[in-house]
Amino acid sequence: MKNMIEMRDIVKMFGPSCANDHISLSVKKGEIISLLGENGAGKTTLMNVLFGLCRRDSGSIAIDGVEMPVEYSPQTAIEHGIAMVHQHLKLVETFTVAQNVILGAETMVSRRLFRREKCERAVGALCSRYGMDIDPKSVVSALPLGAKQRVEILKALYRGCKVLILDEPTTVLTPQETDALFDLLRSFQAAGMTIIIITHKLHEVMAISSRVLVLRQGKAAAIFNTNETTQAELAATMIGKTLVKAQVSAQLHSHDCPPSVELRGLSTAAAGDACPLRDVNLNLYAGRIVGVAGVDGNGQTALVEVLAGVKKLSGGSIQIGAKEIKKNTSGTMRQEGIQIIPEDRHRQGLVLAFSVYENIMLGYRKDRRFVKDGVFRKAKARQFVSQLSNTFDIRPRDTGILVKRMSGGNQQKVVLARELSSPDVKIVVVSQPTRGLDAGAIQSVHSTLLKLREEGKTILLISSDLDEIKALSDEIAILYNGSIAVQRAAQGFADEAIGLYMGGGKEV
Amino acid sequence: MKSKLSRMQSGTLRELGRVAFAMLFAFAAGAVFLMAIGSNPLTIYGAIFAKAFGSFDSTLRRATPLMLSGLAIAIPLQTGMFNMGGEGQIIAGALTAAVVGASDLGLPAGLHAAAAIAAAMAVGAVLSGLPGLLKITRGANEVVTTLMLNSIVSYIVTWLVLNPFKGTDYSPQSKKILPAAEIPTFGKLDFSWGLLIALALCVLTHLFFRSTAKGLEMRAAGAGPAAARYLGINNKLLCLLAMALGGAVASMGGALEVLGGQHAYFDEFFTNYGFDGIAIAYMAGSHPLGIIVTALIISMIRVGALAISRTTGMSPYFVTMLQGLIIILLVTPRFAGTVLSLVRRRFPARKKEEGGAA
Repeated sequence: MKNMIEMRDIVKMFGPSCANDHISLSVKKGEIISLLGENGAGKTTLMNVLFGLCRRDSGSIAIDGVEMPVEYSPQTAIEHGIAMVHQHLKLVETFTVAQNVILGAETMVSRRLFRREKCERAVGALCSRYGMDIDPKSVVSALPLGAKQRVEILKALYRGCKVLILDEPTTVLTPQETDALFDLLRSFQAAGMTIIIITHKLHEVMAISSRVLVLRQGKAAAIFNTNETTQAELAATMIGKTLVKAQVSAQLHSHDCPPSVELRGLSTAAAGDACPLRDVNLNLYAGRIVGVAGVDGNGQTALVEVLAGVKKLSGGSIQIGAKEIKKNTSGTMRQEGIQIIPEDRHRQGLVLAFSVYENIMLGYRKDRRFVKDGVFRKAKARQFVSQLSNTFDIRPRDTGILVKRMSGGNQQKVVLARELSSPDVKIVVVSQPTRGLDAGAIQSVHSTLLKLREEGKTILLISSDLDEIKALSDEIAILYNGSIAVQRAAQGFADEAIGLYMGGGKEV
Repeated sequence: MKSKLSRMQSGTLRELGRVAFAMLFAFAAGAVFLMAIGSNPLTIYGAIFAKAFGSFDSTLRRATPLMLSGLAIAIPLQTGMFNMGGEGQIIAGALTAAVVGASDLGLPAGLHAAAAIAAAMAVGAVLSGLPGLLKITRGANEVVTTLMLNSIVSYIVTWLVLNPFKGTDYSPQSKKILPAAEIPTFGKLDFSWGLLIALALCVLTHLFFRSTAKGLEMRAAGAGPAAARYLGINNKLLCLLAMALGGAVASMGGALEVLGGQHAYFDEFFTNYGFDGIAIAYMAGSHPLGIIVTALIISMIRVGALAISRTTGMSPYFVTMLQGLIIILLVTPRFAGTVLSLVRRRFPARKKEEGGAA
């Protein structure tokens, strides 16, 4: 069979750093291939080059036997049958499904008018052909994330794509939605479409693709047939060493100890699109990690905001030891020893325009050791910050550097260093702590959390990465539609059951 | 440590280069304009600088309220608030100082002046605090409210100086202040000890934002409000505080000029001092120490402008045009980028040498 995509010796530089260093990739017609690699390995860049979003510095590209010029636009790529579904969906939220799909490819009746019904019929036909349960007339903003993603795929199909590129398509999906997506992709494959999936999840590579190209630091590390390799081998190739997975020690702390924190019937007022809390009950224990799983947008944000004290409770109370809190201000929550690692470290965790020193001292601005009469004792403060920089391995060590110039992993270390180094830390609330980090940084965050657990801190871990929840938690709770659907020991909590609860179902 | 120093220097140097280039370009464009209307740019610019340097004490006197006017923008800006009400705050402060200075309080010299300054600052704090309060409680855009307040304050002050606080029947001015309320000048020179107060305030503001916990909190409220909230910082209160401080500082500028220069409030005297503050703060990148320099620059061209109408017949508004050009060039991102790339193309060889030596 001839090659649908032929990329040879692609080089792409961003300033002095090489994002793609002589990478070659050929994809056969009707093949599903994975691109595997850590963040920053060059997967997305390679596909952006193919899609015409980035201009390559050297190398050649042929699509379906046609040599492509050095510079071409996504429009040209689309004309050659390439379609790309980006990690962050690019939809007009206020438009209907049909409007989104035809946008830019309208069937025109005249120069200015297009036929709505005809377009809706065409989109509907496309849906039924591939067994997608989407109403072309529904407004996109009302759809769940999985469906929005399918709208993006519909856009590609409508333009008659022959090659579909998906950038991290499963990040926001439930296990069931992921399975459904994979079924859909297999039916495309049966219809002769070529599919390229960018991912960093090993089991997905094994499940969906026949071959996998592993990228490491901008270079093609290896290419495997998935039936001739193992997840362990892929992981080793991807990070260049054997992956030691973080795992909670098998010995669980006794279950009969009383909870150190009780959340009782927490509710918040609805505001905007964000899902409010509806009667959340959750127990946290000293020396244990309670993991809250769930699809994004089921109240995770509100839960963290309530515990941080930046969102007011409309009902319920938080019991910490002997103290019952009904009015949760950020001052009182901090006083009770709650430290927050927020989900959006760029906005909520850090002041990007500040240096490492300033970001850390923001958390110690009332600490007598470093502030006297409202004025920072610079020598002591600087010494403390560089000590933290060493302990948490923040790179670069220069604490005067602005955090916006640092990598995501090191930014997260700055947040961790600030939140976890106070002498009176009792409770740590961690939200999406490894989102967007590479494998090395993920490991360092995980070992930090496990160390806190050993020290007997109370830890609440909120993450949409199910693997992370399973690897770290003693107990798993599942947040669905603003309330806790279930809380139970992590051991023996089967994936299928977790998926069911995440999708709003119940075990029978 | 070394790398940090060079980074700071290169950042500051770049900023300075940006401002210097914008000024040069503005002057060049102004020269083209002057030639187009048949004037000799060398004569005009010569007259401006001859006056600005010839009577440098006048330049320093005018720079005193201008520095504070710049601070009045820069302080609230640290928390992300825009105080566009400097114009009104300055005249309100000036009139307040004139009225308090003219009343017999039985206070000794120095203390009387201090009382007049304090009263002016209180009035200024209220004038900027009100828009701040409206912003944090009701979400009213402070740019609009402070700007609008300028007109209201200006007409109220005019009425006050024509009626209850009238000093003479011939011109709109207040009573002369008592000698005890005067801020002494340096011998026969034009500027008073107020200049030192203004300079000290610039330095103090710099230290406040750099070295104190409250200063750090204020900057965090402006640069990362969400993060500040998560850290238990009361953003709204700090915004209000910064606004009030800004107004107080602006009014202090008006007070210093009245107590150390005019010795009475003359209506219309302070036209444009507040708006010049915007240019001064912007050119300095809101840096309190930079404001000292940019206030001097603006003061120079303003003082020089007074001379050109007398010696060359050119309208003093010409320098307002220059000032506008400088600001336009500074806010144009492409222009700045072009300058930067020019600078970078010019200096790479030198940088390499430094790297090799280190």
